Amino acid sequence: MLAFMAWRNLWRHSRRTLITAAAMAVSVAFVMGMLAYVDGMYRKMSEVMIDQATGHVQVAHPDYATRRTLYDTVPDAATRVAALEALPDLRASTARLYGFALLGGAEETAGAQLVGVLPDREQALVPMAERIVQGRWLEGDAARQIVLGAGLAETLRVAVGDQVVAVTQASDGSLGNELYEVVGVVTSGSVTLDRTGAWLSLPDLQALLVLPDQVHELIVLTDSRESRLGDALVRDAVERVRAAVAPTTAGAPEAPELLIRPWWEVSPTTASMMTMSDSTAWLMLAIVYSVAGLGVLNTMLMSVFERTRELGVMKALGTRPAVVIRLVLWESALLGGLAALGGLVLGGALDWYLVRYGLDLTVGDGERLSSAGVLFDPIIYGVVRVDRIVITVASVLVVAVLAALWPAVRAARLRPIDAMRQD
Amino acid sequence: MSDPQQSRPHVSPPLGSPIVTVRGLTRDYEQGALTVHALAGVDLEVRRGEFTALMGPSGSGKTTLLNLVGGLDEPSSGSVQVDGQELAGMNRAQKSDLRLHRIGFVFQSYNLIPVLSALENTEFVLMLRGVPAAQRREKAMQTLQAVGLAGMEHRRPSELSGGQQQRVAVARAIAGEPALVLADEPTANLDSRTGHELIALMEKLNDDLGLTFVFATHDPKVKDAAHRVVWMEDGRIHHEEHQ
Repeated sequence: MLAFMAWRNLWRHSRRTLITAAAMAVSVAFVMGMLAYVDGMYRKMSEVMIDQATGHVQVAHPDYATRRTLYDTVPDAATRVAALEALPDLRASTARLYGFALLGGAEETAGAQLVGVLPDREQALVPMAERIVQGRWLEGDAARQIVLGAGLAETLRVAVGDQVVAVTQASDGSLGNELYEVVGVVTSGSVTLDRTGAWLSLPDLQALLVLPDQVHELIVLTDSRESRLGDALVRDAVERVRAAVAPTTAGAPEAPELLIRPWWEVSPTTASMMTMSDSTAWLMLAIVYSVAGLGVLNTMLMSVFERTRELGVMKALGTRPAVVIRLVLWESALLGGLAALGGLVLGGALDWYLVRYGLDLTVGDGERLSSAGVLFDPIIYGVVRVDRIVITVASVLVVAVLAALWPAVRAARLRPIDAMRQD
Repeated sequence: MSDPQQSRPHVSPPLGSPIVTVRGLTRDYEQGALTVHALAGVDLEVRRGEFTALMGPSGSGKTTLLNLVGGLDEPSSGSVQVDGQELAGMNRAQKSDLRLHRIGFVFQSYNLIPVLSALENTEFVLMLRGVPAAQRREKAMQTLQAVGLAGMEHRRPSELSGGQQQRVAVARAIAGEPALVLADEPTANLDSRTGHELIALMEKLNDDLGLTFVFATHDPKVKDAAHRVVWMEDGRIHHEEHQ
């Protein structure tokens, strides 16, 4: 009966109720849209940073994290790649070897970062084939083939079908040099790699650098699509990867203990950017809801003030203070419920738009957005997470109830004899 | 909080036993530098089943006395006992419970809850007492019938005349079968005929159910109906008439 009373009380001033509920609904919709956008950014960052660069779990030489020298390699690469491949419930795994070389075309030379990859496995992680702007991605054993970043190809003035020569100092001190055929030109999604990157098959680069069966990174992607810091799935994968690669380490006494890290340790910059975005989102939620809460506070204070006499009568009839508090809180909770419902509809529409059409962040004359040297697709698509929506909607109810506490206590403290004298 | 009134089964004492006992009751109000003695030492005993009218000019202390008996106000000194319970020393919640379980109120301006229908207004006190919905609905229907409002149960106060609203107020006051009904100028806002009807209704309830009524009133019709008229003046009881 109290809830019915509260509901009817809400409609005594229907315009005021609707305006307050609408303001709160807009807040809910705004927060829902903002969170979907932030999560879309996460996904984008995750695609670029995690999928293409760090993976969810990275296996490397312990000194590779700090020194990144040619010699800090993971030995027995083939065995380890096979061990990772045997692990269940992983999206993809691969190995990469990095090196620097002077690349020469027919007319120009330029320094290049060479990336030795397992072409098919790399493609499973990063859709390189779709990013090819000329020619094709590495195929088959890809022997003596090379794919160049678009900027590098331009610098070298080479195109698909041309040959480039790579000259470098190999790990044994010898001068490594080899001739490759350009089979593709790619825009990789990384500003640096587009200017300097060149992809070739892992065996080719191992041969060039004289690093047989060695790689710099083993990369593992789990099934996690959340890219959340501290993701349990990733933590679990770290342990499974450790177990999978450890026996090989034990079998080779000269091999160093391997460094096996989740992505947020491999790329703390990304992690801190995401944490900051997350904090910013929640801070915005707090600010928006505080304003909405003030609206509720005002409405409920007015409502209680206008009904002073009535509340006095209720108390005179024997209504306990706690019941008065419950009545006022019910009213506010129902107001919050209306707002939550309206907010869900509005926010749902906004989320749908963000998921379907995204938000175009094209800057200047159509250039792509870049952050920390990584190019982002300028359209950020929203990502809808049920837990975020639950928190958003539950928060508006909590805010509504909290904002009504003071008016409720005020109402409960009324002395019936004083309250009934009010007109 | 424990509720001694709810935990103790209420056994009605016999008719004629005291239900209200007021001893040396005073109530002073500060008005700027002045102290107004609204009640200046009142002794009064109301017995079960009585139909008592407190009469006197405005400012004589009728309403103040009624408020103190109903636990709505705090005395400056003296004591009030209702149905054997001393009000002094009770906290707000205990006084709420006393009003809820022992006292029914009828106010001058009806004071119904506007968002509730006649039936729901009548049920309200029963709801506060925790009576199950079906049971309280049945009781409220019976009570509304008793006050002559059958067929109007679902009307809101705004859809009822003044007399009908006051009947609902009476129904609300008596639905919980209180030991005592306190009525403050219940006929003041009603026309003469409606006032007569309301008084007749309360007399009937007094006769049929043995309900104890105490009125604060200027209305000679109430005076004529009352068994006992307590005349007040300047915050004191001036004299009494028994009819």
